Amino acid sequence: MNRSLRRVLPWLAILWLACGAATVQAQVVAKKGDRLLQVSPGEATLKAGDSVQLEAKVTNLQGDAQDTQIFFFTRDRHLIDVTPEGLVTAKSPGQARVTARTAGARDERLSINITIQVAYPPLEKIEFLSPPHRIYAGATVTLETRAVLEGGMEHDALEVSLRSATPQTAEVDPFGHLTALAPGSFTIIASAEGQEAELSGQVLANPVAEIVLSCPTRLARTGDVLQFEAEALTPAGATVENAPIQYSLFSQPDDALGNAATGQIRADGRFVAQKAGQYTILASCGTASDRYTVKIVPRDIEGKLELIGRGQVQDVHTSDLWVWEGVDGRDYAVTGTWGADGDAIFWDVTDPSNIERISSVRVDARTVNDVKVSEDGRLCIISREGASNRRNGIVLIDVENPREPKIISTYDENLTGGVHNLFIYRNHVYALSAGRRYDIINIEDPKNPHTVGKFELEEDGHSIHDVWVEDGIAYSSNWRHGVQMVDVGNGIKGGTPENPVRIGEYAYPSGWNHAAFPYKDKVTGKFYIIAGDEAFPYGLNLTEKPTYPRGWIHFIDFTDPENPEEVARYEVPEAGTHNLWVEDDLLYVAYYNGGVRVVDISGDLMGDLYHQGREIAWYLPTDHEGVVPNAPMTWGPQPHKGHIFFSDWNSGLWAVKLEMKDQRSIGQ
Amino acid sequence: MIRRIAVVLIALGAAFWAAPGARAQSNAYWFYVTAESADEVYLIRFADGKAEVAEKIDVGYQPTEIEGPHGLTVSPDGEHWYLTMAHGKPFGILYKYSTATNRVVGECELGLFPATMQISKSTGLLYCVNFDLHGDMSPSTVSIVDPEEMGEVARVTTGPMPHGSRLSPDGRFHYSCAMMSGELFEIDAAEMRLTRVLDLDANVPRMVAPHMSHDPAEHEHAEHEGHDDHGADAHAEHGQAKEHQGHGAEHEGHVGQDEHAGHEGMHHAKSKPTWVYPHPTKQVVYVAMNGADQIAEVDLKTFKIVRRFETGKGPYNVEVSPDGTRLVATYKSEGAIGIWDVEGGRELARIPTTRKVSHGVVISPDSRYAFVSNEGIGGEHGTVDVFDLNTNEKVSTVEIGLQAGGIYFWKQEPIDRVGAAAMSKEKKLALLKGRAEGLWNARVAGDWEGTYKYHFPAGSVTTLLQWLQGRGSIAYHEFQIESVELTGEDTAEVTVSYRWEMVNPILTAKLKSPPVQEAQDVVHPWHFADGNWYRDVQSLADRIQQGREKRGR
Repeated sequence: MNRSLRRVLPWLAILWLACGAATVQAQVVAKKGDRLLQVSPGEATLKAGDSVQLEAKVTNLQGDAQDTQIFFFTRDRHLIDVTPEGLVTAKSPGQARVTARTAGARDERLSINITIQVAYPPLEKIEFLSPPHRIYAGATVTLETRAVLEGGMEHDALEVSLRSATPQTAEVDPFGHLTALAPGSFTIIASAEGQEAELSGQVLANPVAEIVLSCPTRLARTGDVLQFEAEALTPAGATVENAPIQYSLFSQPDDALGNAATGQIRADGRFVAQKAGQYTILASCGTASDRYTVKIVPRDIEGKLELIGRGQVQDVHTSDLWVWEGVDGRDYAVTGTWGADGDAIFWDVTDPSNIERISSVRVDARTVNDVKVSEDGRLCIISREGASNRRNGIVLIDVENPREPKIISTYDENLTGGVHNLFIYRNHVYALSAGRRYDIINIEDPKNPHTVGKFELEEDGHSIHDVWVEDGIAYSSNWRHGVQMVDVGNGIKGGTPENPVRIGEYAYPSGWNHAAFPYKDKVTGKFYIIAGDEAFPYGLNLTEKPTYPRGWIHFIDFTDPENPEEVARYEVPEAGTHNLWVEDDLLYVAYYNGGVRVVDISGDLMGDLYHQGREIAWYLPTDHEGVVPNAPMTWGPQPHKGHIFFSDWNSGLWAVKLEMKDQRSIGQ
Repeated sequence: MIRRIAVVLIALGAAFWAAPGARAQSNAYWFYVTAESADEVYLIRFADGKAEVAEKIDVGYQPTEIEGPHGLTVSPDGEHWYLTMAHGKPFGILYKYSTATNRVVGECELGLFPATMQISKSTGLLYCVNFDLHGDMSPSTVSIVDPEEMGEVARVTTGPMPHGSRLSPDGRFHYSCAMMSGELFEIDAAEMRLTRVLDLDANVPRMVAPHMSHDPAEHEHAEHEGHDDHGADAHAEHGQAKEHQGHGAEHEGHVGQDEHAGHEGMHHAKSKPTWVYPHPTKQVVYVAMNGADQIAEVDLKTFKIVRRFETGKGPYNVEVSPDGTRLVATYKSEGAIGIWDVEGGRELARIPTTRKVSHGVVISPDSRYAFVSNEGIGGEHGTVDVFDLNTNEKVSTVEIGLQAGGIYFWKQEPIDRVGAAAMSKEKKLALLKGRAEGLWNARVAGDWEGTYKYHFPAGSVTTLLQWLQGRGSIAYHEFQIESVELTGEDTAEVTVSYRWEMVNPILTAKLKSPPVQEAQDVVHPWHFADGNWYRDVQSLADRIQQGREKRGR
C-alpha cells in the first residue's frame, strides 16, 4: 500500500462513519465533531432469558479514549430489560432497540441505537383444536390449529399451512375448511417451520338422505327471532343425530331498492329479518337439503314522543338526573351540573307539564356528574369532581323536603380522586374512586358513612366508568374490560358488600363500555346485560357547535354468566350512546346527538335492532338558547309514572310521553 | 463595600427600567399554563405590561370527564412542550406538542397521576413524578421518558405522592419530594437510580446503595425498608444514624395511629413537601414544606437542611430567579406569593393573588417577572398574575379556565423598538420592497408557513396554527410588485399584480369564472413595527364589511 493511500484510508473510514451511524457486525459507531461513540456488539440476537453486556467507549478520531459518562436505555421494555450500564436481558420475542448515549450538553451528546433481536423460541408442535375424526361425506367443517413454541408460548402470528394427504377422500382450503368428499380414511397435514402435525380420521358414508326443515310459523315481523329446526333422516326415515347441518337463506324483500343485508341466519338455525318480504331458508347436509319459506311483515310499532314539559338549564351544562316520589307523595327530580359551579338542582315534577325548579345545593366541585336518591326517597347523594382542595368524594343530602335540601355529611375517604358515578342500594353507596374501582360505603347512619368493601379489577391497566346494582348484583362498566357482574349480596356466589365476588364478565373489542343495565325477558327467560358505549372520535364542543359522538348498545346474553354471548346491537347511524334504562320490555336510550330513543326489546334478540324496525320513537331536544344552541346532547333517561324524563347536556331537564300509533302492546 | 455598590447599581438599573417613558419593557414573554378542571392549556403572552391569552388548547381524550392536565415543561430547544394528564384509564398520559402548532405530536402512558416534570440538559431524558395523589399510601415512582420518541425507559421508586420534579442546572441530578413521607429524593439522571434521601422532618439524610435502587419494579419496597443502608460513602450524616433510628421509632408510633397506613414504615409527614427547586448556581435546593409553612434550603454537599424560611400558609411551588437573587413561592393556603431575597433570607414582599388558591410559579429568564397561576374555587375561573420582581408589584392579570395549575416558561423574545423615524425613507422603501417580494415569493411557492412571518412580528398573539387554518384554497402563480409607497411614517402601500387560481375542489365546483384569473394593481397596506415591515392582516369580517360598503349595503 503506498503512503498516500495509507494516509487517506483512515479519513475515508471516518467519512464513512460521518455519513451516519454505521452498523457493522461487531460494533456501531456514532460521530459528532471529533468524538466517536463506539458500542459493541453493534447488534445481537438473543433468546428470551439470555443476556448480553454491551460495551461502549468514547474516543477522539485518533482512537484515544475519553472520560465520558455513557448510559443505556430502551423504549422496548416489553421485549428487553436494559440496565444503564448496558446489560441487556431478553424477555419476549420481537425487535428491540437499545440506545447508548453520552451524558452532557445537547450539542455534544452522542447517541446511537443497537438492535436487539429477541428470537421466537423454536416451534415445538402444532396442534389441531377440537379435531373432527369422523365426518360424513359431503359435510364441511372448519379446522383450527395452534402453534406452540418451546416453553409453552403460543405463536399466534405464525402461518400454519394445511394440505390434504388424501385428496380422494377430503380436501381442505386455505381458510381451514375441510370438506369430506368420499368414504374412507383421511389425513390432513398442518405444517410450519419444518414441523408437521397430522389429523387423521374417517369419512363416513353420509346416512342423511333427507332433511326436513321446520319452523313454528310462516308469518312473523321484522326483528322476531325464528328458530328453524332441521331434522336429518336416513333413507329408512331414522333420525341422524349430530348431522352437520348448514343453513343459508335467500330473500325477496318487499322493498327491493337499496337494501343491504335484509336478514340473517345463524349456524344454530335462528333467523331474523330486517326487512319485510319473503325469506327462504335452506338447510343442507351433503347432498340432502330442504327449504322453508316464511313471510315477514313490518314490525309496525310506531309511536311518538310528545313534549310535556321542561326544566330549562341554559347557563351551564347538565349531567345526570334522578326522578323519585318524595315522602310527601309528590314527584321530584334532581339534576347535576357539568364543568360549572358544583350545583345540584332540585325540581318538582309532579305535574310534568309544569316542572318547577325548587332548590339547589352547591358543593365545592366543578362537576356534579351523578345524582342518586335512596329507595325511601329521603337521601340524595351527589358525586364531586374538580374540588378545589382535590378532596372530592360524595355529599349526602337530606331530601325529605326537597324544597329545603340539607347537607348531612360529606365523605371522601379514598374517594379524593373524584367520584364520577355512584349507586345507592340497600343502605350502601357504590361509589367510583378515581376511575379505578368502586368503594362500597355503609350509609345506615348518613352522618357517619364508612367504607366496608371495594371492588377493583386486577387486570393491568384496568379502569371503571359506572356501576348499577340490582337484586344484589353490581353491574359495572369498565371500558376495555367490559361489563363486570359482581355478587354484592345476591348470594349466587356468596358475595356481600364487604366481600364482593365476581360472577362473570364480557368485554368487546372497541373498549368503549360506558354503561350497563340488566334486563330479563319474561317470555324467553333470557337474561341480558345491555351495555352502552361512549366515544367522541370528533371531540366535544363545549359552547359553539354541536358534538358528534359515536357508539351503540350491545345486547349480551348473560343467561349463562359463565358463557356470555353478544347477540344483538342497537345503533343509530351517526350518533353516540350515553346512559340507558329498561322498563317493561322498553329500552330508553339517551343517544347524545340522537336525542332520546325508545326501543322495543321484547322477545328473543338477535342482529341489528335498529334496522329491524324495533325503534318505536325518538325525540330531539333542541333549545335555541341552550348552552350550545339547538344541539341535542341527551345525557340520561328515566321513565317515571308514565312519563319519560331525561336530562340534556345543553338544555336541562325534559319530560316527554310515549304515544303509540295503536294500542297494541309491544310484545305482540 | 463592593456589595453595597452592587446593590446601588442594581437599584439604579431597576429605576431606569421602571422610569416612565424609558424602555420599560423590551421583551415579550411566552408561557403555557394548564386549567386542570377544564382540560385546557393556555398559551399566554406578556408584553407591554399586559398578559393576554394567545391561544386556548383543548387537551385530553375523554371529553366528558375531567382528565386533569397538571404538569408542563418545554424542551430545551423550545420546539416542543409536554403535558401530563393526571387521569386516564386509569393511568395518566404524557403528551408531546409542537410549539409551532400547539398540536399533539406524540404521547405515552405513564403511571397514576403523572404530574411535574423536566428534561435533563445532560441526558436529554424527561423525568416525571407519578404523583398518585389519590392512591394508597405506598411509594410511587419517577418515570424516565425518551422525549424524542416518547417511550418510557425506566421507573425509579421514590416515596408516596411524589411531587415537584426538577433537575439540577447541569441536568445530572433529579430532585423530587414525597408529600406523605416527607422525603427529598435525589436521582442520578444517567444512572437512573436513587442516590440520596433526606428525611425532611428529621433532617436526616441517607445514601442509597446502587443495588438498592436499580430495578424499580423489583426493589419497590426494599428502598423504603433500607433505612439503615448508608452505602459505602462515609458521609458526615453517617454519624447521625442513631438520631435517625430514634426518629424512625417515633414514626412507628405514627404508623399505628395512621388510618392510611398501608406500607411498613409509612407516616404522614409534618413537613408535607410539595416542591423542590435547585439554585441556578449554588449547591443548594429549596424545598416548599407545605405542612410546616417553611421553605427549607438543603445543602447538596451534606444533603441536610441548612436554613429555613418561615413563609405564609401552605407554601406550594417555589422557583429561584435565574440570576439566583430572588425566590418566589406560592402560598397556596393563603392566596398569596412571597418574594424572597435569597442571599439574606428575607421575605421582601407578600402579595395577595387574584384567587384564593395560588398554585404555580415560573420566573422569566431575565429574572424580571414571576408568572403565577391561581386556581379559583368551583366555577370561578383561574387566573395568571404577573409580578414585577424589580418593584415587587402585581402588574397584570389574565383570566383563564377552571383551576389554573401547572405553568412553564416557553420563550422570551426581544421586541425591537427601532422606531420608523430612525430609518431613512430610501432604506425603508428598500426594506419594504424586499419584504413584499419575500411575501409574494412565499405565496407563489405555496409556503403558507413562510408567509406567517410577513404578517406578524415576533411575539404576535396570532399563532402559526391559527394563521394556517383555511390557507391553501388559492394558488398564486406569478406576481409583479408595481410600486411601494409610504403613506405615513410607519404605514405604506404595496401595489401588486398577480395571477391566481382557486384550487379548493368544493369551491371550484361552484366557479363560473375561469379557474386562473388575473388581478391588476391590487393595493395592500403594510405597517412598520419592531424595526420591520408587516402586511396588515385583514380579517374575513372586515373584508365582508368592506364588500358590503362597496355595494352600498
